[in-house]
Parts: sequence; structure tokens; C-alpha cells
Amino acid sequence: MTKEQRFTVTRWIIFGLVALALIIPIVYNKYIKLPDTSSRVVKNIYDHIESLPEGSSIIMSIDFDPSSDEELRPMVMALLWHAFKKNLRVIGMTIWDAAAGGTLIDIFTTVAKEAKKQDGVDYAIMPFKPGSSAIILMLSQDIFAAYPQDYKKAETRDMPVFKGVKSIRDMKFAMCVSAGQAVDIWIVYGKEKGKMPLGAGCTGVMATDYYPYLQSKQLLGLMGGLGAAAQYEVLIDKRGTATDSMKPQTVVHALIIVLIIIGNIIYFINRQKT
Amino acid sequence: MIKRQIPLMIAFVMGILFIIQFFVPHQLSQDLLTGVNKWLMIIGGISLLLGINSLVHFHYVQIKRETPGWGFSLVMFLCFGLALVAGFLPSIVMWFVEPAKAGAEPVKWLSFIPLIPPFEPGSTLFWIFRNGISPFMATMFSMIGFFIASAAFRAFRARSLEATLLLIAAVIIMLGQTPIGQMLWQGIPDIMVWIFSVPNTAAKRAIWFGITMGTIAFSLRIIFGIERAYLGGTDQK
Repeated sequence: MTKEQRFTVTRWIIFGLVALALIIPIVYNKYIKLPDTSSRVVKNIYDHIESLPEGSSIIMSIDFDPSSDEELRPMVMALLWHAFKKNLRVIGMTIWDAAAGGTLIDIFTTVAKEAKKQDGVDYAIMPFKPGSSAIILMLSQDIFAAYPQDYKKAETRDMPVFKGVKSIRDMKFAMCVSAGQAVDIWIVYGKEKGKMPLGAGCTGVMATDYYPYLQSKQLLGLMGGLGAAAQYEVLIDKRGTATDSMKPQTVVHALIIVLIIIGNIIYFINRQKT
Repeated sequence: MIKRQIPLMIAFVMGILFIIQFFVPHQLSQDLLTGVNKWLMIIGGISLLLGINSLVHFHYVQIKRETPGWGFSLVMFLCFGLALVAGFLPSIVMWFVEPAKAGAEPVKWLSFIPLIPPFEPGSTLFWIFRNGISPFMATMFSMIGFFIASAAFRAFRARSLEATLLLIAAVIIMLGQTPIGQMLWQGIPDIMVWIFSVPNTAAKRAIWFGITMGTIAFSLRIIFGIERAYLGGTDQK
């Protein structure tokens, strides 16, 4: 077997193992039990929402497209469910065009329906507008200048959900869940101008980027990837997609570690031979 | 003169004005920022049109020249057209139907089109998003997992001290990100948090300080007219 052929065969064996590591835990999901985990950075967000008085206004910026949907949707759903359970007023928005419809509107309407919340009274969904940083800057000055109408073209000024709110300075919490640069924009323009507590959610690989902001207290808490979403589901006692999806993810992580170990054993054996 | 000096003057005046504006909390200053932000939103909207123009032009040229893979450009036009129709049609039909609600004769021949605004659950565009765009993008993204597993097997080798350190950190983080780490040893998640909070944060800060200093320097170059590439020319002072 040539080196090229060996490379192809090994690659297909690995692909097959990854496929099995995904399929088996999905099929036998209910038989797999994993211990509950918790981290301080996720719990900070939970504790803050828990501490807010009923009727407080919060804003959630949903900035991801379908490629990150599986990882970030459970996070938003858990956060939104928690906010609705606490009877908070939630404003939903996005600065990412691909998140405008199928993601933002879908998540909000699905969770609101389950929590029996009313559009315009308990929550409101803002339409997408171009000019990401400009939108956040406007929100810090006048929310109605940025969004005079909601996505259904209803006047925002007349909505009970906006009662007592003029800008994000009046919000008790802002949460940005993003798969791109939106968290950075929220920190630079939203947090610095709005001064409200800010939480961030992002994909697992992006989480390392935001740890400096935790130390500088510019971020109240951080949710990185599916693991954080699963932790949040445990905290709100509503296990769902994230908890279930952690099982295949855990098995694949274990498989990759085993592959790394095997790869290194082969490497050292070959090195000794040469 | 008009092409170069006026844009340079606008960049200088607006740059200095908005540096000062940041430190002035007066209402007049805030109104100025709100006004300019509205301009930015409008310009952002226009840039979307420019993006569409660029996309259409690129794929039109691909088809015209019959370059390899030009069939994909046809698919692009087909999908683009479908999304455009699905997005605009309900609004156009509503434009016809709205007067009918006020007592005029209903437009029966249009009744087969769902009068749900685009992106609301039940609309055609929403259906396309959930059943087309969403699974396609998720599939493309999830394939990365397979390649990462293959790459980890080949690339993560303890060839040197640096590579060994990287390897150990990667394994700890992979274990710490999932409950498996806690199952093996309670200390693994704590070590993961330490890696994130100390070495990672130190490196990130150093990189960001560099980037930020560069951004400030670049912005000042634009404000003072030293950097002129944005004008479209190549001459630098």
C-alpha cells in the first residue's frame, strides 16, 4: 500500500469512527447518563437574571446564522425561557441579517408560545437593520430612533413592553449570543455607552476570545458552546436539546483524544525505528 | 481637486468632530450622533444593494464566459429569484388585497398566495429558511467535525516542547468542555478555566493591544489625510 493509499484509508476509518461516535449516542440517548457540570461564568448570568425583579426589561441580541444554530439555539431558548419564567420583559433584536427571520423570530415565537407570553406586552421582536455598530450606538441614546416599529410594523412607542424604557441604559441586562463579531460590538458600543450589565454567548471555539472581558468586568458572564447551554438547562431545571446533544459531543471529544494518543504512539514507534 | 480634496476634508472634519463628540454629553452632541447613525444605517442599506449588484454581475459573467462550474451560477440565479419572489410576493399581494378589505371587490385570483409577511412562521420565505438554508448551512458546518478528528490524529504530535504543551492544553480543554473531564478527575475543569483565564487571557490581551494601537494609528492616518487608499487611488503621501 502506497503512502497516499494509507492516508486515504486512515482518513475514511476516522470518518467512520466519528460517524459512529455521533450516531450511537443519538440513537441510545436515553441510556446515557452524564454528570451535571457547572461553571462560575455561566452561573453568573443565571444569578443575575434570577436577581432581577419582575417586569424588568432586558434585551437579547441574536446574531448567528443556521451554521451555528445547533450550538447556539439551545442557549437562547434556555435564556429566554428563564427570562419569561421570571416575568421579565424581553426585547429581541439582531445585527446579523441571516439571523433576522428564521432564527430570531422563530426562537422568540416558539418560546413565547410555550411560556404563554404576548407579543408587544411581554416581548417584542425588532426587525433587522444594517449598520451594526450604528444601531447599538443609537440604542444607547434612543431605542425608538433605532426601532420606531417592530418586525410586524407596529409602533414600538405604544407597546407596553417598552414602558419606562428609552434606551438600553434603562435595561437591567443585555445578552448577546453571537457566532461572529457582535459580542465585540456590544462591548465597545453597547456596554460602554449603555452601562448595563452585559452577558455573552458564543460558539465553543470563540469562548477563549472573551475571557479578558470577564476579568475586566465588561462581561458579567459567558456562555461558550453547547456545554454552557447544557449547564444553563440544568440551572433552570429544563433539560432539552443541549443536554441531549452533549452526549454525542462528549463521545466525539473522547474519540478525538483517543485518536491523538494513538497518533502519538505511532509517531514515537516510527521515530524509534528511524 | 473635487475628487480628492473634498473627501479628505470631510474625513478630517468628521473624524475630529466625532472624537470630540464622544466626550461631550450635551443633548446637541447626542442628537448629532443619532443623526449620523441614521445616515450610517441608510448607507448600510445601500451597501446591500451594491453587494447584490456585485453578486449578480459576477455570476452573469461566469455564465456568459461559460467558465468551469458556470452551472452553479445558474443555480445561484434560480435560488436568488425564488427567494426574491417569496420575499416580495406577499407584500405585493397585500397591496392588492388591502383596498379590498375596505369594502372593495376581493381579488379572488390571488387567494392561493399565503398572506403572511416574509420570515413569519408559515410564510414561504420562512419555509425556505427552515427547510433549505438551515439544513444546508448546518451540514456544511458539521462536516468540519470530521476533518478536525482526522487533522487531530495527524497533526497533534509531541514533536517539540511547544507542540507537547499545545497538545496537553488541547486535551485538557477537550476534556474540560464536556462532563467526561469531571468524571475522570474533579480538577480538570478548574485547570481548563485556569488555562482560559491566565495564559490565554495574557496572550489575547497582548494581541489586542497591538491591534488596537494599529487601528488608532490607521484611523489617525485617515483623519489627517496620510492614508488615501479609501479614495480609490494608490498614491500615498
